[in-house]
Amino acid sequence: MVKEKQYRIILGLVIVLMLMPATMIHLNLLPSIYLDGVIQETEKRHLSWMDGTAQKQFDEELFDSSNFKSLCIRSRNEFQYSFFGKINAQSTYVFDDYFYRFYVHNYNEDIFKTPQDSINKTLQNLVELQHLVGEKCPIICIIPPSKTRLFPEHLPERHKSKSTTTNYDQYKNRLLKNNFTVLDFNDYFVKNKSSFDAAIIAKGGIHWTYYAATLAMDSLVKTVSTLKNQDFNQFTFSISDCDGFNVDDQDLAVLSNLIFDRKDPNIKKVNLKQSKKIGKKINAVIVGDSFFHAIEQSDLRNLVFTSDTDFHYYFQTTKNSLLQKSPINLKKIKEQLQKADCIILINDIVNFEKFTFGFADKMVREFKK
Amino acid sequence: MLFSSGIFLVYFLPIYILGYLLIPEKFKNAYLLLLSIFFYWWGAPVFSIIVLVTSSINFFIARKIPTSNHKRKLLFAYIALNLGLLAYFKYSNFFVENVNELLWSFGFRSIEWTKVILPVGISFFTFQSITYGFDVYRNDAKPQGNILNYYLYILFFPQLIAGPIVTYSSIEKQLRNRETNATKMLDGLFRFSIGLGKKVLIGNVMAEFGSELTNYYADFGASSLLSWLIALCYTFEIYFDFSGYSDMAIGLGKMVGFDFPENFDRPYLSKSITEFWRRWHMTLGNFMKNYLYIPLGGNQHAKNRTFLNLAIVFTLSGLWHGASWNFVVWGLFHGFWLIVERINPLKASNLFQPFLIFITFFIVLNGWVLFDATSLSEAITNFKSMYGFENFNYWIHKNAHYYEFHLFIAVVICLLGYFKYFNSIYHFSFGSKSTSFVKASLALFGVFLLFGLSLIHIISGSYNPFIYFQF
Repeated sequence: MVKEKQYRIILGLVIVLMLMPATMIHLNLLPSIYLDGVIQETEKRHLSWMDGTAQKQFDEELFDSSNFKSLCIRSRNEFQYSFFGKINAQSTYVFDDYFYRFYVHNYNEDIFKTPQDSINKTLQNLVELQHLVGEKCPIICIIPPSKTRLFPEHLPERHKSKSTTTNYDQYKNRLLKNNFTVLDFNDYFVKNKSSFDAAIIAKGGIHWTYYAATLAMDSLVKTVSTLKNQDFNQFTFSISDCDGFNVDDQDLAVLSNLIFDRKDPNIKKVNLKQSKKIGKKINAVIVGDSFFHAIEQSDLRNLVFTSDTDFHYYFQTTKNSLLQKSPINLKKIKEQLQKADCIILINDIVNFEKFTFGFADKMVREFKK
Repeated sequence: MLFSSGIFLVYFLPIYILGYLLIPEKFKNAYLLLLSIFFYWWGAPVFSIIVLVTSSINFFIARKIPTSNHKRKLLFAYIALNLGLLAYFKYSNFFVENVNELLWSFGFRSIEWTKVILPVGISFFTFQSITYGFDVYRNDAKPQGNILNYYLYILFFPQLIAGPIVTYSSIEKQLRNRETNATKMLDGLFRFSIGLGKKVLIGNVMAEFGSELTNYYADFGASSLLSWLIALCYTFEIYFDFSGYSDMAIGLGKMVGFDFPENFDRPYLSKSITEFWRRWHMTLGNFMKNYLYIPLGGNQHAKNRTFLNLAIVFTLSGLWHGASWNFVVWGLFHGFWLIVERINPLKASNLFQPFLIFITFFIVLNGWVLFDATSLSEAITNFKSMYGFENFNYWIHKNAHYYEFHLFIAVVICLLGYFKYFNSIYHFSFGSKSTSFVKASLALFGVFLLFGLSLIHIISGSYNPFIYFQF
């Protein structure tokens, strides 16, 4: 039989444990725990202590500024993911520990089909732009790999379709027909999936890995060298083991705010090395989506491109070689086009719905002014 | 303030326990009263004044009842004050809305009316006040001589907002004299943590599931299967939500030596609606029986009179739950089945028990469809979808397995109650005098993990509605 004295010991322990959260918060004893992504802010309302609205706001914000809330969020996410496979990140899906984004619904991207006349118009503008900038500045389209196409085996049947007339199919065919250079890394990586030494897209990522981006840039440099009949800067690289976790390569898993890093043993560290024969760096006008981030946030950017090369993200914001942002300046881009070695369009398959992001159309009009 | 809120669990609860242990015996009730006033003020500052004022008036009226020559009139005034308060705050909007509809249908101008805000917990503390008046009138209890103890009886925060409805006679002695020790405190914490887990880890998930299904239904069209699933989710949501809250209230009371009555006894295992109302919200059932049904005559008269009494009691029960016609119909729905059972009681035998349980559960589930709807027309739409049997499309959601698993757990927990499994665990690990220190420690550790898990979910900002809070 348990004696009252023994229960007092347990009660004392329980009270200490109950006081711990408040103690840890107010004495700042918790380690810094960051949350990734955009956290929904508590709605600000008109406050009054008399009608209870101030108290409600206080309740909601009480733990916001403490690491305790971040710890609780990560703990909850980890618990729910580990035991139930539930992911609390918006528009994120997980199948067999492979993270996908919202467009898992349109595996072959055939749901948001771009109308034919829209495709025609875009191609027309591209052809005209090519004509306006001249052959000395070829347009090169880079198509990064799509995770849903690279790893279809993990997707449930409802997320698959057999369509061959997706935006991707249509645009690629039309681009090739119009003699544009297309570096279809989606096709290349899907076909040679098992032959690579490291992950092309990490289990927990939605973008290509640094390794895949390195392969792509290596290919790009060689392509531009062939097109321009010039030696552009070459590099070599090697891969080495790392602990299987890389924040940039595993962006979706990181955004899911779990406690434990989801390691992918196929993620390798890429070691870049300048070639012995140093060539010219590519002076490009780059328009694209987030697949360029793996390049711009690594040594690849400065190894491959000149410092004058700007990246126009969704053709909404311009980032220079120092990653400084500025609004799109059509006049400046026009000037850059007149000196550039090439135009690079990096377009994820899903973004074919907005191919060139208005770049072709706006630059044609700018040239015609 | 909610029991399942960060501020309560991290700050208020430790202060409640620690303060009670440290305060000298003679100040303990005053300490509890202070915390209770703060608790109510935190959620509804203006209404805390109303509660204190009306409680004061109640106290002074009830004090006069035993010695007065006009006992009945005083009781009447006492009841009228409390019911009047309830009628004004809870039913005036409903009354005016219906009158205006009637006037409008006859082409008259509507009455201009500023909507009255419902004070939290008014349905519960007015009923508690009423039990005090009746108990004093009937000499079941002596009037409380100490106004602070009376305030404590009305305002004690564990049962203030959503019950259990504690009759004054059952708690009178405990107000003056109660035992508090480490065993009871841990017992209370044990109970509180179980209730918290039920509410946060199952009740909230069922609510979230129901909400996701409703959104899916709205986006992708009606489906009988989905409608039934929504009803099922609500059935478990309301049980785990409300019984969880009651467990927390009982646990909080136990921590400081109060023994509150049980409010739920595995209601979904009832073999009849009559039995259901002996297992669901038992303190409301007892209140209605002792303070309404029996004074009306109960079953002491002819059958027809008994049926009428049942109909009145359950109509008023329905209305007590909410000022809306769907609640009235819900009450009548249960009243109807009670009458049916009186006319033709199904003789339960061992063979038919699971069948009877299933039938009763089915009837109760249909009743919850009425209860959950925001209006009668919405309830009718839901029934049409459920019984239309037109479309059996299931839903697709990235977290479907998570919700389905929790629904499965909810069902299993309810079924395990049939074997009194959880009572056995409790007595095996903690509640029995033959419990060992190791078993008790393990049980408390397990329950504390449950507490911690619930706290994590609450602080993270999970879905956290409280159904009975609207009353």
